[in-house]
Amino acid sequence: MPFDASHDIPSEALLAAFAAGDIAAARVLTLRLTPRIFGYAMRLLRDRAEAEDVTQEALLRLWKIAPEWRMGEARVTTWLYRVTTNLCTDRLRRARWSGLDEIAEPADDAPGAFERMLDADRMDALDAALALLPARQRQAVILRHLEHLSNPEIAEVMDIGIEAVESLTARGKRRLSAALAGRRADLGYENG
Amino acid sequence: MDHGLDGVFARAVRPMPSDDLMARIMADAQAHMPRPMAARRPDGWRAVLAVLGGWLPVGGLAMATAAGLVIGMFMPDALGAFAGDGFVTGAGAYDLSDLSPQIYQFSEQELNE
Repeated sequence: MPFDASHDIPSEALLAAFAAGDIAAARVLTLRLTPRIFGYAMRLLRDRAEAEDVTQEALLRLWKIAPEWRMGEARVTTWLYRVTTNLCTDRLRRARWSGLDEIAEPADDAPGAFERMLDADRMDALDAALALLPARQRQAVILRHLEHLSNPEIAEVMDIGIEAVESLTARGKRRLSAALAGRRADLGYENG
Repeated sequence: MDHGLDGVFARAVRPMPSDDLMARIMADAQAHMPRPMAARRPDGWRAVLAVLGGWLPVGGLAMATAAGLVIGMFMPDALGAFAGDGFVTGAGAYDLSDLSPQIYQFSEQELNE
């Protein structure tokens, strides 16, 4: 099956193919899902090593659940975001218990770090502002505006109602705007 | 204000995973890849064992078979006490009326009525 030639195959079908013993399907899923899950974990944790661990753990759980996956009951992406959210929440909670408000910002020595540093100031400002939000508001804003999930999908990920998602997102954006107010020039945006 | 935030979101760059992470995730997939159904199905003696319920019942079955063979081959006379001397066949064999004498009386009554 030429998975690499098509991006139209749903992740659920790829997972079923993996469960049937097709490793090529796992490769496509890895390439498709890892950047999304890692990006999300990175924004929640702000720690590259922690985000990599969480991403690997979330994908590992996906591989393990593949044989029992029931088609039509859940979407792979939504399920993964939910697992990732829970893993990140656990880690942040543990970090807080161990006396840290947030996991420390790590040194970024991964390949491509220089290219990312070109946007570092802008992204640092955004990430720093996101870090000021309460956890649930931060999750909702990231899922809606950076991961581009729909409100019903976010509701499923966060296990809340759609109205609660809308409320969290609206309050999160207000708070984010206020936090970024002093950085408008740096961030290159004006009041709309 | 949202308009400005939307611009920030639009310019946001997604942090990318390292090649090492991608390799580790693929290694996990390889290690946990489910075997195809055909490969998981037991074959040969394992299939027979599975049908018969495992080693313990099969062991009992084998012992009973061996005992039957020994008795049949080396002690055929002893079987007469059970099979040939009126227990199952022959003059002293049991009849249905021995087990339930009323059965014929009941049938006769029905016929007479």
